[in-house]
Amino acid sequence: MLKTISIYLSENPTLRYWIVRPEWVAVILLIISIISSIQLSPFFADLAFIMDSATPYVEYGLIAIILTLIIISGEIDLSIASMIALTAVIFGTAYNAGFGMPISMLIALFSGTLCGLFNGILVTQLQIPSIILTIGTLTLYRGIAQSLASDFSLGGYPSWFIGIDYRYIGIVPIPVIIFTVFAVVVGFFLSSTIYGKQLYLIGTNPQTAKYSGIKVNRIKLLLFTLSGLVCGIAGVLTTSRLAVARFNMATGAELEIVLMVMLGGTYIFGGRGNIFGTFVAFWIVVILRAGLNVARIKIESQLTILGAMLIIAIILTNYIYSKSQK
Amino acid sequence: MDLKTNNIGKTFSGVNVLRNVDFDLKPGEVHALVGENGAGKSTFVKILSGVYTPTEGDIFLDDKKVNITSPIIAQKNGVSLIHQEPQSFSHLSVAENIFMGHMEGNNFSRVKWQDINKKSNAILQSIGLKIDPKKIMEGLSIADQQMIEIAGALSKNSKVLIMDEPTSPLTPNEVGKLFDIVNKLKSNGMAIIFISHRLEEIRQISDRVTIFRDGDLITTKNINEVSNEEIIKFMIGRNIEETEVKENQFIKNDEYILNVKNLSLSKKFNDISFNLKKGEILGFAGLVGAGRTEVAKSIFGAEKFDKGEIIYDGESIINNSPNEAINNGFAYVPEDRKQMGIFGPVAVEDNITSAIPKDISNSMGLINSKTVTTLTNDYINKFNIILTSGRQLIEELSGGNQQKCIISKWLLSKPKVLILDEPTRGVDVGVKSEMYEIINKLAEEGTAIILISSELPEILSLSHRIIVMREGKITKILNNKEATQEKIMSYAIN
Repeated sequence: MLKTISIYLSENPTLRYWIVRPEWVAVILLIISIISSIQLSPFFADLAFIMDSATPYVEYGLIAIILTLIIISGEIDLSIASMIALTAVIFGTAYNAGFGMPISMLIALFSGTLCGLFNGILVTQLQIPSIILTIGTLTLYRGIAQSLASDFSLGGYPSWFIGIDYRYIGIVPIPVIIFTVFAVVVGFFLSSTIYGKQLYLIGTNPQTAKYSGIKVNRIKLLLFTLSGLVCGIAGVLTTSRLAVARFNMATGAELEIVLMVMLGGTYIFGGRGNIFGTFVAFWIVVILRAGLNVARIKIESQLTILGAMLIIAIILTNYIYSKSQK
Repeated sequence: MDLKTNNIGKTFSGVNVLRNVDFDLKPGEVHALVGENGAGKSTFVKILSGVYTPTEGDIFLDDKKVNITSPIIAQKNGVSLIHQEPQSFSHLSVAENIFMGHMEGNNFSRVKWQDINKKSNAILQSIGLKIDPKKIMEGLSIADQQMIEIAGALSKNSKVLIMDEPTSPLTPNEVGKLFDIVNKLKSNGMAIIFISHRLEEIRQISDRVTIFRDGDLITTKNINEVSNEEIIKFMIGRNIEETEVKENQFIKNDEYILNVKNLSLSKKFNDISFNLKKGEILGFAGLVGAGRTEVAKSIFGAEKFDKGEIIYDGESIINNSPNEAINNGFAYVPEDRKQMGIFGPVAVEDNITSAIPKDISNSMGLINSKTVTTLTNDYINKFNIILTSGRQLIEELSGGNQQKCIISKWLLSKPKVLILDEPTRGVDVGVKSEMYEIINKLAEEGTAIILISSELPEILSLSHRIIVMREGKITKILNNKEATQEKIMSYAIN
């Protein structure tokens, strides 16, 4: 039975292209988590509750979208959470130093961009593996944030700035709208433009990509820089949500963001994956986290469950890719 | 030790690479193996040293049948392989490298360092090498590292020593030193197999020579009963399909599109000068490692060069990257198809259109998938590429069909200078002749072609002129009319 299916699929590449895709794993996981959460609490049938639960994760979701691109092109950026904290602290410092709100925001975004650019230059010019390098800058950026802010919470922002998560259009919080629009735009970019296609080619075989005239280094540099910029945006959003900026914001978030990307079926060795998967995985994380909270499972134990999910997702993704190659 | 083989054969996934090899090696003898690249000599010594197991046939040591199934078993039987590039642990000491894998420990498994250093010293002295056994490997010359590998073989009481092109990384001075050691080992009764492309060296060091060609052992001769010309004849003596090189209208003109002047890259190639007409097929012959691929990569911008000038269409240019080269009208079909030619788990149509991003997208970068499919189907039909659809993954196709895809990819970029690096490697005979037709047709349409190939009949039946390279230098430029396999070979080897 399985054999006939696999033979049939290998004779129909187009059909196989649509069926053998790891993001279906994410979709199934999402359905399972929705069903089991509804068992836990009737709140889960309420769309508004789910939307509200999503807002704290939007900052991670935005970065997960960019990280998807980076992982598809065969690299990784683990300094993302530290860049959130650093840009937030720089934003708070700038505002408290008397720069106006718009200037402070620009400074935050600019410093995020610089951090990303620094990552990108070291990865592409010195050919340092990004997994090593960004573990280094993970520590470095967090360190800079700490020396800037010490243990202070940088607050005192005008009230219009605070609480972006409580602004709605209809029942949808503004951050969720930002996330959805961003996912659609980047998803379209990835699937339909030549630049998106080149990311897949670079991730599949960087050597062949180079020999095909694709500007591998320039594209990777751009991706890392973009990652820094989006972390800057996330830093400002987080500050708005929490009303303060601290050096230890988003500690450990890099893992949760990587989880979203992996759970969405993006292949850790590059060349495969998509935004739809990451988008679905974002909602899995939201619902799981909310569900576990409702079930009164402690934050510390929640990590165990998320970790287990990550491993399952990686095993399934690898399994599916190994099948689809044959 | 006496080594004999009976009817040894090896098949790799259906391809017969070695057939019916009856070979013998006596103690106190240096026995040279020669043959073109791919003739089977490396496969043969890998079988003797346990890297491969033979598909058929037997190996006898001192008339006793042995089953050599791994390098460790080979060493236990006294057979050691000395690699062309020394395989050493560069951060460990000389003594550790010599005794790697068979260090003796005391009752607590602690290594007996003094013992090992002393033994190493004795072995090194026995072959006349003055190196401190405690020295770290890293700073030593390639020659010394090679000697230490030999010392390692001696420490295992090897009786048969196989040396795979040991002289190619050495300077003439070092070769002399190596030969002193080889002679010393020989007089102690060691049986030595010596692979080299340099006939003069073979003449100098060996007693007998065995010639391989296309997986067959052709003959074994005493070295002083055979001339260099005869050896070369044995090496290439296959039946040649006589095909005339096709002239075309462009060749008669003197319109040079590419003029390479004194191109050099340290340690890779030196002082390479040639020119290329529109519509001309310029063959690059030579042994593997002669520097042909490196020259091609430098012209294509994938590697840099130190000195020299490339004049293209009357202007001096430098391709700083493949991207610039492609925009200038160059294309390069690489030798290593898997690593540099294809995107394996990617659809054929995305492979074929990967070098022409601008042609398949609009000004906003949006891909026109209809164009992608049309362009792909054009070439699928034109070159008779066998597949189920353009969406099939390229890695699922046969080598020949993959190669056709790669050529299609580069033809889509409409190159003026097309560099083909071993275009028919791993391609079956049928596809090969189709490939030749394609290459001839391109030349007729005015494309200038650089054809790098290690197959002499291929070079001879396609190229209008032939450049022969050896060890990073051009040794001869031949016209097609004067070129023969013998001539090319004599310029390609020493």
